[in-house]
Amino acid sequence: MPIFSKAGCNSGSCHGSFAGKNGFRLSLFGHEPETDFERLTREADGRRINRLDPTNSLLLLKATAKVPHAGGKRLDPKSPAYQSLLRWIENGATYDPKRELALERVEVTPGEALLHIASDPGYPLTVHAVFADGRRQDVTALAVYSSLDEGIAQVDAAGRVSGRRVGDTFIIVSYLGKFGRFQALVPAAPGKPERDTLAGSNHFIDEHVGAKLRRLNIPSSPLCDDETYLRRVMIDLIGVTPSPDEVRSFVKDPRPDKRSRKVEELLARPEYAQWWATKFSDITGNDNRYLGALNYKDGYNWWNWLRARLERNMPYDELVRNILLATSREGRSKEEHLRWLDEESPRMQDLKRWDMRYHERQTLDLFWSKSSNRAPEVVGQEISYAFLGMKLECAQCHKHPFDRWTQEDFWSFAAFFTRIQFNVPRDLQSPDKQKPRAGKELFFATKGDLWIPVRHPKTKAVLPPRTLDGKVYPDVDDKDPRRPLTAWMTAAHNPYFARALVNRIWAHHLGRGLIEPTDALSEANPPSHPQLLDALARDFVEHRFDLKHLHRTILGSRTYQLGARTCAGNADDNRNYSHYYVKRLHAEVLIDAINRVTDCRGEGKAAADYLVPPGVNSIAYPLSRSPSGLRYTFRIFGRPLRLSMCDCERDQEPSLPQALYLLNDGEMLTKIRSAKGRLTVRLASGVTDAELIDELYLWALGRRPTQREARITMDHVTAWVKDGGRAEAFQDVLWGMMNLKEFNTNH
Amino acid sequence: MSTFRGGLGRRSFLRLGALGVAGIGLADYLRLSHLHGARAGQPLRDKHAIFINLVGGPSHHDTFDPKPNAPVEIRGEFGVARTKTGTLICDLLPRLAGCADKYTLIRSVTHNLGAHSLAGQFITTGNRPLPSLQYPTYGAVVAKEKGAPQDVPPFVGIPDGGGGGYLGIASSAYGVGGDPNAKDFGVRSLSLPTGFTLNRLTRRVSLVQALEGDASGDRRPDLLDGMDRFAQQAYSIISSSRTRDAFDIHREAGQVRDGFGRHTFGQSLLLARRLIEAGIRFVSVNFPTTWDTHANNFKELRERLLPSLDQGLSALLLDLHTRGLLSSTVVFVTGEFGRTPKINKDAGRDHWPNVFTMLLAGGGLKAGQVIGKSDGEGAQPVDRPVSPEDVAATFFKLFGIDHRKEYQTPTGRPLQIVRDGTIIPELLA
Repeated sequence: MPIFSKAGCNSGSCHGSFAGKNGFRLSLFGHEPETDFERLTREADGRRINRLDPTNSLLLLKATAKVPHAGGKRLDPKSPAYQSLLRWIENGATYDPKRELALERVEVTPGEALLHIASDPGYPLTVHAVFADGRRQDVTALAVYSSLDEGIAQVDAAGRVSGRRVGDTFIIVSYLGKFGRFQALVPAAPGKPERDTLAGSNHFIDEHVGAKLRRLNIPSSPLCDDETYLRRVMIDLIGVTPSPDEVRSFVKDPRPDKRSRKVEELLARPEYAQWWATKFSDITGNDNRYLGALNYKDGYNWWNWLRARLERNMPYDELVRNILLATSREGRSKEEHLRWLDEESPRMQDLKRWDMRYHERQTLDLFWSKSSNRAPEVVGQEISYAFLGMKLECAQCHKHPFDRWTQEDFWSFAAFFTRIQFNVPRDLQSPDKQKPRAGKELFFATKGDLWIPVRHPKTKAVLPPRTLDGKVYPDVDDKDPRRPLTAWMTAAHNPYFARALVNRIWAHHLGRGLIEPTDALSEANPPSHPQLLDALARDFVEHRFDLKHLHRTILGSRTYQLGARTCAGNADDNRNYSHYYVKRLHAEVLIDAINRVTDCRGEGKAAADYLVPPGVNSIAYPLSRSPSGLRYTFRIFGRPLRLSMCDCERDQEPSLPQALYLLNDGEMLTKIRSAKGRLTVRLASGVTDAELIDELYLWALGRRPTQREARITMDHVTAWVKDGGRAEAFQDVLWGMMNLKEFNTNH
Repeated sequence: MSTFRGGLGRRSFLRLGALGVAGIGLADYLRLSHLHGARAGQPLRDKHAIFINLVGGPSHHDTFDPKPNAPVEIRGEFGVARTKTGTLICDLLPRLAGCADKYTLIRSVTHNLGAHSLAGQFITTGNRPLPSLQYPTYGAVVAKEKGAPQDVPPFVGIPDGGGGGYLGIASSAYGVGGDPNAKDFGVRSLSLPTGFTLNRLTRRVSLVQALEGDASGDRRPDLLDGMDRFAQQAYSIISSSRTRDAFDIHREAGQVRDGFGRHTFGQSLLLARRLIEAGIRFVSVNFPTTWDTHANNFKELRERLLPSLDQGLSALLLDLHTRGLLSSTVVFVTGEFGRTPKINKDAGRDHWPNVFTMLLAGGGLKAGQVIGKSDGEGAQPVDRPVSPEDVAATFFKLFGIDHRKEYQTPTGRPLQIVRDGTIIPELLA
């Protein structure tokens, strides 16, 4: 089986495809040896294996391309792999599953090394398979190697690694579905970095980041100035750009700890909870398309439920518990529940009211009643994606290619949710089942209710709920298995729960996850700074899952405060945080910033959006799509529709429609020229040209212009005042500000 | 095993790769756009495409696969017309019957997704939808692989649609927004706002250029390079007359506009032709109203749907042919599924993915054929069942794109452009 993997035979684009290839199918990545054995020896009239004349086995003839093979020549007859297959056939081509020893793990030695650029013939790795009985076998020649970044280090089929460019990456080694790894560190010329801004900091983040930069001999950029820090931290933490007054008073503030004071101040602002409720709405899949007739109200309810908890800084584990253990009644009696519904009904039904009390409920049953979240396997994917940061769905149909998860793991995980029903409960059904007293609700199905047990898709065996660490929770009538599941997930030592969250928050602030992509925690995708990720997660758990503490910790590090400008020796770095990585503004932040700079939300129809609370900013927009259709700017600037379980749905890339919008869209010009907008009002206020230029810079970029910028801008104004008048000249300036990359990015 | 390669840098680099030239100043762009402008109107040798989505799912019985010998509850109310090539289609499509030598029908397309959204994703991407990711639509792939001149957007959606899927928003269609049949039709962000001149735009752009300063010597993140390149492209597009003129459907002669039909669909196809002529690589057109005829199927088809389909599509094919553009422009027409053989109690037909018809024309494919066959009731394929993946593989083949080429999703998952598809050799000339 490892031979087939190494030669690529059982990959998804070859015989590993579910349809096979040209009549021959192997299990994907060789995870089902018994089936593969059947297919090799029995199918195609047994021609694939010729026990009487082994070298004439179709398998060998095809693999060496002695007969035509669409996949070309995969094996050399002189190779050990070919010899080993030949020997197996000569010995009768047998397979005894009982004799197959369980592979425990794959060991790679060494675990890491400093490599030098283009050291030929490469640094050799040794790989051992360790079996359940303790037996070790050298599988260096059989393992499959791949580099996570071939620009930094390459690896050949024999496991020899060579460095290409300064930086670090991992070589992932796979053998029979298990993974090992080697960290390749490729430093710049020997020595110490010239500039080491992180030296001397006793913040644990800076210690970890600094230590690795020093090993790689990569310098860190100088700290950013106060204006940059203020704009940066406001955008990252609350999604709002600073006003001129905020900039002025922050710059003037002489206190040495003013940056951390600012973080405290921002954490207490309402926009903190609004913005993060929007982010958590993305992650938890608050997609109002699936929320029924009053979906815009329920989309708001979902968002507002999160907002209320973030505002009072509910510990993250408790917040998630209240999502995972949701029921509609939350232990209330039927009568109490119906009374609550009756009270809520007028608030829900009235289009103009936004005083619903849903956020006062303990649990978020909307997560479960969402019509696309009903199948247990979908809920299993959603929960593992949202709270464990992993893509379990690969294992729905085949063994996970980048992790150890099997189909049995996946479906056993799904089994936790099969008794969670969204239906009319029995005590509300009238005897003739015609007219229920109230609508559907979320409950745990017990004796007398209907539910379908989860079965293994291949063996059809009923699977009891099982957590990913292998512990089984027998399906019992009166015990909601979500309780032990939640206890496992939110336990301090759970390897995924805290890590997934701290990694996402880190990625949001620093522009790149320690694990990237941020929702792909897996064995084959190790973190760039494993100890830092551990330390952050530990710190988060020790502080009782305190989200504000986590923000404070990251934002208070020197690492976060490094300048975005690169210096000699760190321009190529994109994973060691030697400088702050420039990010395009999130769609919501950018639109709000345009509105703030112009002091105009648009005019006429464009400004009106019914079915959300009046006047909400984009960062507090609760829905996945507005009832009047998708907002154009949300779409082109990459706001997620919350339709797939992937952090990548929020798209931060530049695009042509974005550029056209900024350059020439009527909506931009309307806002700039609006009669009530900032520009018109200020032009009429008697302010001088120089003062106005100063003010526009502060609004748009959170800083005053440099001398050079002030001169260029003033020249432009002076030159065009004659042509179209002062108003037009300043419209150009304001438009120009919003077309600068500096305005469109956080840096 | 394939590798993960993370992050912003790689993705932006890949996406920008398709857009071509870096490091050219604005003046160069102006010069280049003049050169391109001079070439417009000449026959295009490079392949282009127009994808027409009959959203809602048209009845195959009452369009391209009539069953005149079936009992009336299946046959329906319409008669048949014999086409130029001897095939029978619905008699309410007389113009399309007259130009059947220009297209090929595949009457045995089959899949098993009966819901609009999922089936729609299937036929617009050529891949069976997955809950965990979104596939890119045809146009996103073709635009990425084949690119377009700098001063036109590579992929346009009329009125919108054409998502980039896992390739990201940089690959998605530029949506025109409005109704090309409307008197005041203009395209969002492209037409200069009222009272605004190119001169003024240029002066604004030069202010930005002066403020940004000269960054050519700096090593900068891909993000900033990408923003610059798109900004330059946006300026090229707006300042060159090519794209603005192509979108300005009012420049078309009244006679030609009448020929396509003075309805949204006809004018959308005319606009699509203008865009293709201007060098836009891929245009997708959504039929403006729904084909989802659960009730009053015959009335809806007779009065609302078939006349504009017949007029618009035949005019498009003939116009492309006359201009010498048909051989380089693939036209692909399909809905997400067919409709039930049996007529329901509301004189409607319901969803039926088991068998339906797709129409392909142009781009050098072998026209004038019928591929595959459905049974006497139009219920199942009886000859040569074809999957949407097979059609997708063949479609890409017409562009010289290998549908087995692997892309990587943002999470590092390797995926073929079309996961499971076999080329339909009969379709290729």
